Amino acid sequence: MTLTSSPAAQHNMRGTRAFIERPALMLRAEDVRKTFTLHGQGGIGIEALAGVSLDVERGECIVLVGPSGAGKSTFLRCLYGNYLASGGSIAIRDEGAPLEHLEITGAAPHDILRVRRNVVGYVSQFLRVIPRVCALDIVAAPLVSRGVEEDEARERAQTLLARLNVPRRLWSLAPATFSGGEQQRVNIARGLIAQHRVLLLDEPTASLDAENREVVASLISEARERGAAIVGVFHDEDTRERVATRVLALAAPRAQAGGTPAVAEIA
Amino acid sequence: MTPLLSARSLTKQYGGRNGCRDVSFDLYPGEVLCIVGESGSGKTTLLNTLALRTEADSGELRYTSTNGDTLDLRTLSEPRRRLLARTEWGFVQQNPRDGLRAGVSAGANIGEPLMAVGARHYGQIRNTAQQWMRRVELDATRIDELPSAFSGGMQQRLQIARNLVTGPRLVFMDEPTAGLDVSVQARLLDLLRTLTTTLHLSVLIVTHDIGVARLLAHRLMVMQGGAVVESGLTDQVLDDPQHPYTQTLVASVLPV
Amino acid sequence: MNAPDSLQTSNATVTSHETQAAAGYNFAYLDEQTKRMLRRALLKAVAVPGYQVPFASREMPLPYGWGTGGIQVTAAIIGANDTLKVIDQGSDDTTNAVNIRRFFARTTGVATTRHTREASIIQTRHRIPETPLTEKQILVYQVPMPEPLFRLEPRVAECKKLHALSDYGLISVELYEDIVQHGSIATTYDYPVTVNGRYLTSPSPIPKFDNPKLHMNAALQLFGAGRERRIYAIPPYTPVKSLDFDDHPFEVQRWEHACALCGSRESFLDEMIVDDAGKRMFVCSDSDYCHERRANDDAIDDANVDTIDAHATTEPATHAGEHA
Repeated sequence: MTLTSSPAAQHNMRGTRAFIERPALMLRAEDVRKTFTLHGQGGIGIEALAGVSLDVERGECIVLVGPSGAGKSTFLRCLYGNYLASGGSIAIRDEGAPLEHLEITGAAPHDILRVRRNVVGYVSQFLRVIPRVCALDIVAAPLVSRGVEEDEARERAQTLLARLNVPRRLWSLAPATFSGGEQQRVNIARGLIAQHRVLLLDEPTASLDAENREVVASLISEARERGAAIVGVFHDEDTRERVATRVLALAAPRAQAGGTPAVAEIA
Repeated sequence: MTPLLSARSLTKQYGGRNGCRDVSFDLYPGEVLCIVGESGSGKTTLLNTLALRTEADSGELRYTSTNGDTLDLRTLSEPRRRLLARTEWGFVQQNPRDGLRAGVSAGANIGEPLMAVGARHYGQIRNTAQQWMRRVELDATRIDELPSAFSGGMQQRLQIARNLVTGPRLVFMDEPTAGLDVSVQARLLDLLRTLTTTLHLSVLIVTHDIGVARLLAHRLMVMQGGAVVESGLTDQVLDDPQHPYTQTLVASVLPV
Repeated sequence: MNAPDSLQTSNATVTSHETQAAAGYNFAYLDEQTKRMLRRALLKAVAVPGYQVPFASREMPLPYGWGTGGIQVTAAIIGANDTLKVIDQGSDDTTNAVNIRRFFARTTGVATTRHTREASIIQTRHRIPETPLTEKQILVYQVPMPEPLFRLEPRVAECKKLHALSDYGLISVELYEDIVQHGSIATTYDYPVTVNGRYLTSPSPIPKFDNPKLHMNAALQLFGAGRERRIYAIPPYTPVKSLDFDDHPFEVQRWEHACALCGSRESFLDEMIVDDAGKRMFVCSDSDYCHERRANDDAIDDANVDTIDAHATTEPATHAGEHA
């Protein structure tokens, strides 16, 4: 049996017109389910998401809350295409595409790559970098892959790193030896530099001190004001208060009787 | 966008078994696709079939040329195939000695593809060769030395330079880092990563090393017993493997 | 074997008939079927200039490496009214030249000559005569290795493909390496050429000095390699270009000396050691050319006829003639 991220479909088979009717809509997740099947352990299934739905519009920042194991990171990864959703659909605005969006669930790899380059940015919880590449080049990379001149990309990277208080002397070093907080700031810089219109942030402030958390919160707010649609997981309440426009609470799948989890809105 | 290389149900078997069967995928410009599998998985057969070094038994194989024409590779005449291999494609062999001419200098090795397509100015050929030596981080003053004077890792760089000098759009690589020391491997992988992004190359790499795939590839195809058991974005296949074999493979990687 | 006692090796007369050829041999030694096979190959070769035509090389009364290819070509084209000249590195008098000339005299009874101008067929090893040839003449070359690519690509099957596809990058690699190692293209004989803008050809081990004579020659040039079983041809007035690089153009050898015997400064000179003190003398390689020049000089300037003193010199040779 061949398993792909789904048969490559040029057109969204069950496309929604929502992206045409609502110009501000950037992301739509419908009844997203995720079950991990561990073949090595006798094929046991671990249900991580039991059906999450979410619409995100420009300028919104949705914060996912819930206990550990509720599937917050899993949900973000599904939105990015890093995990394959087991059920449901995830659509992201893709200008020029049929019906103005791409269904991540079932998309061809090169379409997802394109959308990742142009539309969706992701800041993971841990910095996983290519060894031996210096911090500056790591941060500049998303711009370079979009075609920005190397020199300009590096300049913008420098500005961002400076703002995140990453010491200049570290810019030309590879981050493998940085502290957790320094690595995380490089990670954030890389995730934010290209000013993606959709941002997925997984615990971006986890290893940061108060001052740097404040910087990150500002950056996120600025992105939101620029019109980015943001979905994030934030452990720290202050940052959450600062950036969130809405909160989505997830509960661990077994804890639900069924149906979608409660959604609380913050005005 | 049209794919650069398109395979549909491609099959090549030896005596009705082994080899590769029923392989389908599309490769787009600028993408790096890694074919991962253990010995006997059929990955090298697949690579050789795609690069037209072996003839497929059945299936379709199409390539979009620089001028926009879509070529049916399975029915391509030999002259056209050789021209393609000389101008738009590259093939980096696992053992650099298989991909280099041992009896002529480094400069001649890099210059030969240029001379094969009509370069006739000695000075310019030499300059281009030196530029490429620098690009692959070889000492350009060693341009007149024979390949045997270089270490294994350097010979591999020389082979890469020889393959890239004509500006190909599609490069096939057969375990390019196998057999090299770990630190040498690392440098080579860095070089490949830089070159693939700056030159906007499409690359098909065969490897048994998942770390190579993680580092270099946008996409991954996992092969077992001649079939592709899973394929998708590299980060997705490695972070969320679906197929039992892929899960075993990922779990088997030694943590550093 | 059954050679007649009186042989025809006259200098000038053209009187030869089959009745004077050796008894028991077919005309020109080869049977008619073989000649037909050779002629077919020759026609094909002439139709595709520079292309190596395989042929079924026959057992000849001399071993491979001694000119069997050239002999078979000559045998296929020679007729009763032809006049044959045979030279070996420019000389009519070497053992090989003498033997081959005698072979044809015995088996055909055809007239032979030393004078280039009087010959209708000239069989040569490793030189082109200095005297320009005419449309009425045929030059037959003895070729040891017809494949110009063999040093870099030993596989015959692969070479055939390279020629078929005009895939000649390899030969440039060889020349490139020459420049790397010697500062200039060091090949001085058997210098590869492109015939009629298409096929890469080995002109046989003639010195590169002779390469320009291949180009647009009025005579038909035929090449025979007996051991390697290939025939090729350059028809009259065919463009032939010696390979080079744009910034390292093809150049012929030049000598500082003139011929010690005839004073020529235009011909290919052989260097000869004249005594055990290392004295050298430079003399025209083409003996007929040299004779002719001297005959003309004698006719013009009788007063200078004397013992020609060797213009011996102990300078080291600059460009020695290559004796493959």
